[in-house]
Amino acid sequence: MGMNSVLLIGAENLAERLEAYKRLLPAESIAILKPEGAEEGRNTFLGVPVAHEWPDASGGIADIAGDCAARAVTARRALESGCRALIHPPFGDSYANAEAILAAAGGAMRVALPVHYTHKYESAAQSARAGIGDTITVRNIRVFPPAQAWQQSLFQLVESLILLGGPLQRIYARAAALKSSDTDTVFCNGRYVNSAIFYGEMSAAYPSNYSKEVIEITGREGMVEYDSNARSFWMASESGIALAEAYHRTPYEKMADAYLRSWEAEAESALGLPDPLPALRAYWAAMESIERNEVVAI
Amino acid sequence: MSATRTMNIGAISFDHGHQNGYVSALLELPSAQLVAAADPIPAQLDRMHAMLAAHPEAPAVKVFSDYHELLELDEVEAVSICSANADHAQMTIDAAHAGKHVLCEKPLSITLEEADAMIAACREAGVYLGTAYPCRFAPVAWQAKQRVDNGEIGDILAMHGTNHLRPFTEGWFIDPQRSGGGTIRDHIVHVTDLMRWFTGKEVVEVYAEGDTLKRPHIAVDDVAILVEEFEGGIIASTDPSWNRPENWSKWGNVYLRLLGSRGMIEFEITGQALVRTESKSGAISSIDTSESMNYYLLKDFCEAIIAGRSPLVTGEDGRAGVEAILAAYQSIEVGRPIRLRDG
Repeated sequence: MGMNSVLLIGAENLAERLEAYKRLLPAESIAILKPEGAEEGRNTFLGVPVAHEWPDASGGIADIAGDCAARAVTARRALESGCRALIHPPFGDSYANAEAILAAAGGAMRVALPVHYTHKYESAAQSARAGIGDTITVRNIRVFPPAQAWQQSLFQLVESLILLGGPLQRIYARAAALKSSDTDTVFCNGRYVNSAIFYGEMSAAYPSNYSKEVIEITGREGMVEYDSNARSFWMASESGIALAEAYHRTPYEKMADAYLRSWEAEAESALGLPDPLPALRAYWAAMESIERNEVVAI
Repeated sequence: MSATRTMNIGAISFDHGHQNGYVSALLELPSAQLVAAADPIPAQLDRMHAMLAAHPEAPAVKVFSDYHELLELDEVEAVSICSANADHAQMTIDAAHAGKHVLCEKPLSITLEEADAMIAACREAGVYLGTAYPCRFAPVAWQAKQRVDNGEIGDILAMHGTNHLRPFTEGWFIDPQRSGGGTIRDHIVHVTDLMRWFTGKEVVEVYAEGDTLKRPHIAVDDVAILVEEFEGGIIASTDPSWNRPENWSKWGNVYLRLLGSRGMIEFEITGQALVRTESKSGAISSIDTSESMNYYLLKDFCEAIIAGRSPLVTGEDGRAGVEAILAAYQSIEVGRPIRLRDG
């Protein structure tokens, strides 16, 4: 999937996506289709032109986020207008539907999998493979301020779990709307195909001045661990006042870096890219588990 | 509150190494005095004798191989029981019948029927039953509880906790007949109790995954992860696994993160340690400085009984932990969430 121009659609992580494309393409090759929530009449976003109607972008790439339920329709339109589509998951209304959408598009549609290109995840997975024996447990916690649809955060959670431990065998997930009218938190656990146990947690319900990311892989002969805020005690309040702090924050890896690396990989090779289907299958299994409050086989 | 007198304590069984921690606390505590100890295996008393040797001012401790003889001593007012789990019920009931107050090591029992019998025996004998959940008494947990009770983070909405351990459990710990199970039996009780204490709510539903993966040769589970619901729709999760590497920097951890409607708190009880690194020899030694929670556990137990009130952690709290353990094992057996009560 070569890249000579890009049309960005959807407000999710838009600044980070844009920053990545700016490093790859000349500014005149980048456009944004009016982001949801953008002020009417606004003609630029971070210096990039904002189109209010679908522009002529044939031959380029449509980078599609936005409302998860509408992404497949947007992708179809992009393909019909001569663009290739890079779609941010989840999309479609079931695993079968998502698989069919991808199959119908052939090589003209790719799925963005930025977690695969996030150094700490990639490094944790490689490090575990290099010398801690068979994996026995994986724990991944992703507590971030809201920047994308909760469904996208859940997808990235299962994508992370698969990257860290392999294909999933079954999943149990509980969702809750703790601080908003829509779901903002999901806890899940289950098994990998190799019998290892996993725990996943995503939440956008914490105070805006708090975030936490845990990547932990334990094996028969060792362990790989990452905690974004290793410390003994922490308290944050919704008022934005830190009441107690006794740690040194690990510098955040910029999301734009992961996008950039993933798009570089897309641009350079049609071969050897991560397969999105296992994560899509696991995502829809998690959604089914949430709906039925049952364990769902994958 | 300060004690007005000292309480005479007997230590029954050193099967669980926590008894040594309690003995250490008793030797420091003004409101308590260790007067007797019982264990059929003399070697299990070696550490106690070493601690007593370092405290020449402490009164002589009478030593027995049979705990029934200890229970016959009039001067013993209360006992600390740290046997293998399978013996907790009989020892507690015997102690109650002998008129002794009981601090029983966690988990309180193997079955709920045993827990009920222990609670009933103590009630009928007019003695107090406490469960040894020292984590409530860790200074950092205490501070967090005060902040939650002051309303500083609002209502608790979600929780995640861990109680990890290096794989050094041996002997009766990995004998299912004596322990009643592995990492689930041994470790979810601390986190579950902290969650119950912070929220004042009971566990409603449990879905558990558990297996024997770190040490496949042992006969009990050694890894597990639970997703739980508490009353009021609070969602929670617990990782109690014995999955740390043998050379991990700490023996384990007890960690809790609470999300409230107006803020959050997270803390690690075992986070404080004094570490010495020697360049020349390459030796690293670490002293856990979190031991004071044992001191405050015993302090509360003794002062409560002297004052004629129940200890902070009761037999009923111990029973709730057993209920969660059994729900987790049942969930693993049937492969679905187990509903314990209406939410």
